Amino acid sequence: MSLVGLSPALGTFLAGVVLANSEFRHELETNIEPFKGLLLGLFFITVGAGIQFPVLTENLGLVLGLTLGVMVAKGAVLFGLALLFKLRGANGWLFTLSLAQAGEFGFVLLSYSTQNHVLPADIVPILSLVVAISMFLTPLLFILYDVLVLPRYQDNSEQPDPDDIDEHGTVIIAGIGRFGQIINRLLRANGIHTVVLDREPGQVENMRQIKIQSFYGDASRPDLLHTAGVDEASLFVVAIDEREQAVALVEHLKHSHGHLRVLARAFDRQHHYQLREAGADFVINETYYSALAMGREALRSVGVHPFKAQKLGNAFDDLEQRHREALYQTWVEKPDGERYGTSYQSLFIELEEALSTAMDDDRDDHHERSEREWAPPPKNYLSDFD
Amino acid sequence: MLIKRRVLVLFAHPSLERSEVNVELLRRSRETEAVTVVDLYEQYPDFRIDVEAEQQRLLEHDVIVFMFPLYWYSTPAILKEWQDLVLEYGFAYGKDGNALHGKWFAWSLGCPAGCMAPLLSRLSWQWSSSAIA
Repeated sequence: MSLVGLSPALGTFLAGVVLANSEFRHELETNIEPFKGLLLGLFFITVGAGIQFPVLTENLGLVLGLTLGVMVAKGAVLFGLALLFKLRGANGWLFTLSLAQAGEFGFVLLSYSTQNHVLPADIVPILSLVVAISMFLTPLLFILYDVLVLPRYQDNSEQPDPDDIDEHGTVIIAGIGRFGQIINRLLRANGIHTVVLDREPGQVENMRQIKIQSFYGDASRPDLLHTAGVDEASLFVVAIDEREQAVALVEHLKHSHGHLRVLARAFDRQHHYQLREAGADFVINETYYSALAMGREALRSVGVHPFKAQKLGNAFDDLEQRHREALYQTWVEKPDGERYGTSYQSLFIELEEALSTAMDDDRDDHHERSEREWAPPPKNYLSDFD
Repeated sequence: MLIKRRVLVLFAHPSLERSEVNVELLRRSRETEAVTVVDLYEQYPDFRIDVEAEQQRLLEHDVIVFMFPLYWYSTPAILKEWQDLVLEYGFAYGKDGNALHGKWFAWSLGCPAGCMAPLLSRLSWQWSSSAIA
């Protein structure tokens, strides 16, 4: 980096960014964990050592005033951003208060600007004091957050700790909402042991009241997965609401626990593709089969014979699965920006047309027929045997 | 001289956990070389038979074997569904329906001792010749 004239600190920052996008980031995080504490301690000792007390005592009012001014100004901007990006309630406040400090990169910038004579040498110690003191005040802001802000946004004044999971099952289900409940009930009713995780303490409590056992915790945390028994499990069902977290969870599971079969719930078509790309073994769109059942009922309601409606629904389903596969193959080959481009769209239109042709095909043309049902032979077929 | 034939076993048993004889026959068939074993209830648990795939499979084999427990002197439902759908006019019978010409056909069916007499006298030749003709 110094060859290019940029600071090594920026270089390490960029290295981190690049690694964060690689497939090794989980291992990286786990491996760095022990060093993080050590190095963080060292860093903050350096920060503290940089506080020049003579300068501080001489310009106390100026420094404190500047610090508070910076924090308030930054806080106001952050609060505005939080509103703009719809970070509501407690999250918005956390965002504001935690980032209101001047940031440790300020030290790098100040020393760089001194070297290049951008700032006069006498104001730099004051500015670095401002940065250091704003960092010093941040833990106080966190305490403020815990005491004043959190209670206003939650019924419980403190988050319950994740439950101690004292049993291991062969099946782990993440999410015990509308989707996960059905799966859990079906498995439990047949004597299959499940360990259920959910991120909402209220939901866990509701489930306990109707005698369905689940554990509170965030399924995307590797240590929680470990205590849930992911190493001994054979099946993992991802039934959580949050789309990006679902994709990340599937990726993590497939990466770190290759033996595990992963079933995933998809919100819509795009989410379906993303989950497949992440490696999920089986993906179902959460509304698809309900809508299809409703479609069959709709056919019956307009006078179609129930069995015919059933077969038409089946034919639709078969074609839909095949088309989805073709569309996915087109989607996955393209790089990120072009995925819903013209080739995908034209394929989609083409397949939709094929669907309607296939559904009302004449039964004589049996090779093109979408749905294979018993059909009588032609009227005069006995003459074939003459 | 032994002519090596490709054998297809179409197995139909709706409740394998209750099976005593067929399950053993299934296991032995699976262990035999050059035998393709298809468990129809396993392949099509919702009875949605892929007719194209099944016809293709028939074309690729020389000996077709139905293996099943006898239910009311007939096959379990899925094998009947298979016959209804796969043995189409124009494929298995009728004009140009000679895809199965020259192939061999066999049954392996299980029923209590003594059930065979009425079965043999009523069903066998009439049924098999019309299906394979």
